[in-house]
Amino acid sequence: MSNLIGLTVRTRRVNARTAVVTLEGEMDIFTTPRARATMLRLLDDGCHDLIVDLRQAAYLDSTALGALLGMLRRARERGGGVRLLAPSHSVYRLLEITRLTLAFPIDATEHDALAAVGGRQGDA
Amino acid sequence: METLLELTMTPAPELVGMARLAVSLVAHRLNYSCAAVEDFQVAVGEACADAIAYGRRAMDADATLRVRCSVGSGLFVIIVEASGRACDEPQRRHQGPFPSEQTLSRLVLDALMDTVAYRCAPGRGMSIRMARALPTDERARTTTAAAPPRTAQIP
Repeated sequence: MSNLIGLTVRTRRVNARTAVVTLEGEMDIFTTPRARATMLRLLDDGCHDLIVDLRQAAYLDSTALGALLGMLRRARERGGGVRLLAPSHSVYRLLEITRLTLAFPIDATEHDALAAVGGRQGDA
Repeated sequence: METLLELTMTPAPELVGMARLAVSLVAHRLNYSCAAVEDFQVAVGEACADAIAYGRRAMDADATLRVRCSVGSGLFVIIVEASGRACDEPQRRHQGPFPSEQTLSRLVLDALMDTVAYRCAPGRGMSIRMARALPTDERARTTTAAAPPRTAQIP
């Protein structure tokens, strides 16, 4: 049986170290494993800076937040990081409730996110 | 308490979306605001995910997940129950520098609902009872006679 809304995961490599992961739909206990596997593959493939595009993410639950935290830990261990791009009001509220706004850098536009990653990579 | 909805289903992750949708429809019928309905959707998703995780830890092949919505005493009450033989008390400790999924879930439930109570007993599974005050115009109505519950069984 399929989920009622489901999740579409798209990836785009910006350069050897950076990728944009776009999440569209609902990321919950059912759909999170697929998104997690996609992000893990990118990390293992050398993309240590992930920009997670949440502009079309309608809903994230604690399973999804836990997966994003797991990616953040792994990315940091490799000298990279995870940035969140433009979460909706409801998703941002969840991030605030769980205080994850303190853990993840959040950018309003992809341009801002790429500039922040590029600047950090340039500093390294 | 007047039971408005009772769902009994297998604790399968793909069914959580349906439980969230069903509860949101009940909340909508109770004249909650769109923001509040969204809160209930999130809360039910969290509670179901918690219950499913419990079912996995308990390794109970016959486990069921039940979601019950009721009103009474000016409250909208949602109870999410997972059957199971084992008792696995929720762990509240943080693991490493980041909070666990369970900790995140508890933070969300505590923030979105007025009261949240967790129960876990050997041989009786676990349950999460969440309550929130009814919208003002619905509080008086809950003093009327109880209607028969709308029950659904999902294989």
